[in-house]
Amino acid sequence: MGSYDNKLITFCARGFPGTNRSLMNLEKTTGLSKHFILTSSNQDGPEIKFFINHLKTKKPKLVVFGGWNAVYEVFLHELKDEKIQFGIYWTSSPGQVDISEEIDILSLLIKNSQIQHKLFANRGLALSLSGHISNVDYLPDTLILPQLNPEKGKYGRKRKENIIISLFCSPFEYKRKNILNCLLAVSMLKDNYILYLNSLSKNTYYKNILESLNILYKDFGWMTDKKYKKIIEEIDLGLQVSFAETFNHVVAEHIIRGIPVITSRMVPVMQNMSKEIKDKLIVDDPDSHLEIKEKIELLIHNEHLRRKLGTTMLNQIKKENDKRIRSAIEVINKIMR
Amino acid sequence: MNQERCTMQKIDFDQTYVVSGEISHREIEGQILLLRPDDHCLYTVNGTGKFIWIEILKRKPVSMIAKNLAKSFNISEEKACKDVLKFVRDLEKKKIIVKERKK
Repeated sequence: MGSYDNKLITFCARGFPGTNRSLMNLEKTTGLSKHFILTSSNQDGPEIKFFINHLKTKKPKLVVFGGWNAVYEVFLHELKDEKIQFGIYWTSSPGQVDISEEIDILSLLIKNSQIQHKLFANRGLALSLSGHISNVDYLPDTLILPQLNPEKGKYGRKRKENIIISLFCSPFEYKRKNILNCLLAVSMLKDNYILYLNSLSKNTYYKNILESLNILYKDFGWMTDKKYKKIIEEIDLGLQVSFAETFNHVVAEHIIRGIPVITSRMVPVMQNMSKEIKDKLIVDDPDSHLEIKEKIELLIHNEHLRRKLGTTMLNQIKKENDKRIRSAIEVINKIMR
Repeated sequence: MNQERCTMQKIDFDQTYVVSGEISHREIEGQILLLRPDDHCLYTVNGTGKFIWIEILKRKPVSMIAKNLAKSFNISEEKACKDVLKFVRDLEKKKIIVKERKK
């Protein structure tokens, strides 16, 4: 716990894995906040009652909610007489807001006077809104970098029979993750591969497509953090050719392990990468499965290139992350003043 | 309680425990909810765990907790002993409870 010691407490409903990851990382990288995951959506349930009592005891200066969920309204109502300020941390980009049909929530939140601080993970959205609405700030995503050495890691192991490609996303995000183009691209590969999934095949329609396209896949379903970290180590190449994104922790978690990821231009974590990385890994037209397939083939045929790009990306994201952490600390210091 | 029947070793059956100072805990709607400072989620304790927890709060020694558990849940003392030891060890490992110093 940092110098604020429970002065900034964040909450996020379990249904938002990316936002929870952002807020857990914020706690660890800045040491200025404490994050809790709300596992129950029951507004009258014991979990909410516990945390309301906890907040009344701890008396934090600011409570920030990740995204929006109906259970947060109970906090606002029950704690309205306490000297606690409230804020939201909105992680969706403008494109994501439209695609995921979140505009109704965002429009209400920015007008809600009980929520004094509006924090956005998308810089553009924060900058635009700050010209019209008070107390809007850009709070960047930060990363916890594992103590790994990609040189000694996966590439040092015995050569595998199959290239492992990941296509990870939450079931709530299928609309913007460009799944069909990625599946079409993978289905055209002549090489031995296994596509790693984290629940896509639980969806009947995508399961039909996976089977119709004869895609060899392994679906791990929802994974604990420990299992996810173990599985991600096995991956050779990630696929995240999204139509809209805010940060994309999946991409970041591949990169920090030296694993290259093919993405669209919409993935912000890739935006400050070098030209070489962008040329090799960013797809110009995400709606072209042929282009995605070409990029995959280039990488699966060249282990040296994968290793080189993975290492370069890791070094670049480390520098970028330092800036993000400094910026996040500045913003928290400002709003906690 | 026949201590020799318990298969788990290295435990003082007269030992009492106290809740670590950093732990927030409350009973709400019949459930015991625990929050560790380093965790992001609450622990929920129900059933026999709740019974043992309340006994720990009453500062009863492990042997007494096992005896009371066996009586209340109509199970053998051996099974009760194992359950209590497992629960206590788990809470101790997670630093939720600590051994009370003997005066």
